[in-house]
Amino acid sequence: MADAASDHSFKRNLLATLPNLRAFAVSLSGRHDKADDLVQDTILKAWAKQESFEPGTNMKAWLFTILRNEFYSQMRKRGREVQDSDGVFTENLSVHPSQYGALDMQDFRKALDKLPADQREAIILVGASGFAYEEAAEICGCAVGTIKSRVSRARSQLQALLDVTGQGDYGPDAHSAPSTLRSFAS
Amino acid sequence: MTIKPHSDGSRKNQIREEHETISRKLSAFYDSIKEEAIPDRFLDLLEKLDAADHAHQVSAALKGDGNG
Repeated sequence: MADAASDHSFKRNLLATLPNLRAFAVSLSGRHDKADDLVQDTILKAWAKQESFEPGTNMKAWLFTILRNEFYSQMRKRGREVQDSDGVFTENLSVHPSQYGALDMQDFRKALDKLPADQREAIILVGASGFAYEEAAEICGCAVGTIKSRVSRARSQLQALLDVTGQGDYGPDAHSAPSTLRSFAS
Repeated sequence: MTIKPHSDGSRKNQIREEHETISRKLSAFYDSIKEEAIPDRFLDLLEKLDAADHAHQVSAALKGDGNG
């Protein structure tokens, strides 16, 4: 039966995307438990609307869009301000250091959490989840140029937070220079 | 506040290296999550959804619903 065959491939493709989807959920929400709930909700939603998915089109992007929309919709319902660049969920991080290995990884995670949500998701989608700029733009519902500028700002911000760059080249207004240094120097 | 010397001293190369460092760290972070085992709850859920779908299809076919 044609239906049975396409069902299996839908399930198979969904399964194959899960590790990536889950990593995206963790990056968005900052917590493994919340991320897994989000993935569960996404699986249910995707399954319920599988008729609306056109076989042969970009299922990965389709699933990521569902998850992303679900994430923001849940945040709105909870009245959480996701754009807060202090990192709403920074104190609640429950990721397991051992799984990430070095302190390096923890530092990176913390830096990532400090980004505004739109920059964080942009650099994740393009730099880690494996999407092209155009695909990321569709997932986020914005222009390609917007994604590019968010990725670029995210990258600069991460560099500054992780002190990847030397600070001298960027002049006195460099956001990488902590204010304490200036007051100490004076 | 040091500027690392590069073999050809070019600023472009420094920028590229900084980008690559961030890309590397980002990939390492993301990959470490991808490499975790998929929780059983997702596998179970998919099996249940699949089974429910097929049960529905079978009973629909038996009743002669749809195009039958």
